[in-house]
Amino acid sequence: MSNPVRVALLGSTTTEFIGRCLCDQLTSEMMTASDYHADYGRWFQESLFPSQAFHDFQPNVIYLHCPNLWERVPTHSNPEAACEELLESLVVAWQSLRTHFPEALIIQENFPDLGLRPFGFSNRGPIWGHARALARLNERLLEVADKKGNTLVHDASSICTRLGASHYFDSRRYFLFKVFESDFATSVLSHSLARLIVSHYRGPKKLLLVDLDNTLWGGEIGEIGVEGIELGPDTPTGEAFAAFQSYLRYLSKHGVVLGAVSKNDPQTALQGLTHPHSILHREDFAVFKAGWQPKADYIKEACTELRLSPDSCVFIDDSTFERAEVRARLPMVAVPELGEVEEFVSRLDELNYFGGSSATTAEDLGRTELYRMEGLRQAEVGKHATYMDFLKSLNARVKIEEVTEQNLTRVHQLVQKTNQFNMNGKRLSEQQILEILSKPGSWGVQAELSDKFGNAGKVSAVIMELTDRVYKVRSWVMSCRVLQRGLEWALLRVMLSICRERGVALQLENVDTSKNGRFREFLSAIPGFDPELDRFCLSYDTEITDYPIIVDHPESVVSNHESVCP
Amino acid sequence: MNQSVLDEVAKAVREVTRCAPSVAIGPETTATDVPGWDSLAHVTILAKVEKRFGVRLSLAEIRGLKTVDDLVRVVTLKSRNGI
Repeated sequence: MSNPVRVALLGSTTTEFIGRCLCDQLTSEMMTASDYHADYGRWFQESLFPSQAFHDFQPNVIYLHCPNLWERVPTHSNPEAACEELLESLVVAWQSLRTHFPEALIIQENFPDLGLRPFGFSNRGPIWGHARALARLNERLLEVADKKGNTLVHDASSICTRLGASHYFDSRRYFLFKVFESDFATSVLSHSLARLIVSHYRGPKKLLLVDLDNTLWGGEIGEIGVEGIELGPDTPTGEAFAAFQSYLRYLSKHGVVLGAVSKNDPQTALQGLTHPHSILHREDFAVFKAGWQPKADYIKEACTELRLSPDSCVFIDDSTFERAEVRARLPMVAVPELGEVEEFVSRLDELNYFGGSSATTAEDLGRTELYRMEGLRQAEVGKHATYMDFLKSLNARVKIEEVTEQNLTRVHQLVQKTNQFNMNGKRLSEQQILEILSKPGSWGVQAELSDKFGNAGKVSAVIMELTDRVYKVRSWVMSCRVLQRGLEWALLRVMLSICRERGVALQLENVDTSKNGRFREFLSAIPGFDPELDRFCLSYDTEITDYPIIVDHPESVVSNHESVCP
Repeated sequence: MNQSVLDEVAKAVREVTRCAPSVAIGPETTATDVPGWDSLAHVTILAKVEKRFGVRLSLAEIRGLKTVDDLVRVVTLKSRNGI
């Protein structure tokens, strides 16, 4: 069981049913959950002047649910102004909530389109008619939420579109009891919200491992050969498999690492990806496991090679037997039931495994390639007498950059998604990071690592706050892709040199988040580390191992070059 | 009075409000007689009864409900007519 989730629901309509359903959903995700509800319709007052009960509840998630507020926009004499006015009131609410509850995640629901079209379903409707007013309002909501930071938008509008307005909105319940959503919509909405909260706390899934036969194409390639498999426009089933491949390719191009796990002869399995209608090719897969071992073994191998934890993995297979084997042996791996091939895309999409609380970055776009490079690097290890020799052969270089408002997205994403090398597990918001950095002497950097195999991207971030006699590290995260490459030690050297300039010690936190074993291993390797202490101070002249990494940084980051460039 | 409908309605009320077994639920019972029968419980009781009998009450019909018997009558009538 993880830390309890305390969700406060502030609504312009009745929120109790969503709260109840959400707590059930979170419990089924092994999270302890409780809910608090503002008095009916008092979302704005409660945001501005939180009641004692609200304070006492100590929410860590605040959910604003105001599905009926948009009604005034298209009917207003100046709809554009009404739209901005509504957004402004939301911003005021978020800002106040952030002041009162700085640690809480704020989720704003967008506005569902109930399909009202007084002038029909053509593009001749008035500019600020229902359709366009809502589209503009939701678009502007995203812009404002992005700009003001720390507010996640939950896309109720898409859920309404998917279910159909007549299944989403129950007018009778609304007029009688001010319950906006139908029973069914309440359950779907709560499920989606629960996934968002779970992925905020645990990070989204990162690795998607797929079977090949009857999952990526129809038929068994070992029996019928590549020319016999069903894939592409020749048959309806072939089209459905191609659509699923397109969906997977989209995921892989936006940060999800793709891998194949197949019971086949490896050469035969690979042939499937050379089919003229195959959308996925070998290079789309960071790992490719084919053979006759149990699939759970391959999944474990893939996770080890990619340095990803099995609980960040989703496994898709058409075979009931294989799914059961993986569930039994690796219960932490998500193994969904996707039905028949024509349902694969919609079912996987509904499960929302990969949705996160941070924006997409350049690192996401090339992630499978980054992991493929990691595979090449691993293969190189065996060619050297010692691990240090191997590291030397990599010609690694780290480029350090100050964290600014402009490059904050990636830093925030690292803080949100990193579990294993994460000092304290705190998911600082963009706003909180900027607040720390605005304090005098505070120091925040991100590090980009490259070597002879290529650029691993921006893989680590450190946020430090200067107090009287110590530099307190408030957050230190590093992507698990680059563990054991010496980067953590190179960064520690940079941090100590900063401390040396100021004549202060460095303070690290010793926190067990149950997932940050990799950080704690690193901590215990630091000379003088005392596992009994929750906070651990390091003198700036502590001798630490010198790893073969060249550190590049601007003058503004560290003025004492000698101490950090070996 | 349709006893089987009454029994189902009483069952739904007990399940949702979790009232003590000593609280009697009969045709003349109103929401104020049953601890826990508030507006939120009312929504859930109606949803359960509608689902059990495959009927859907209109807004006006729900507003007209005063006693358990009112609910039993409208459900009996609607389920007999298949609406």
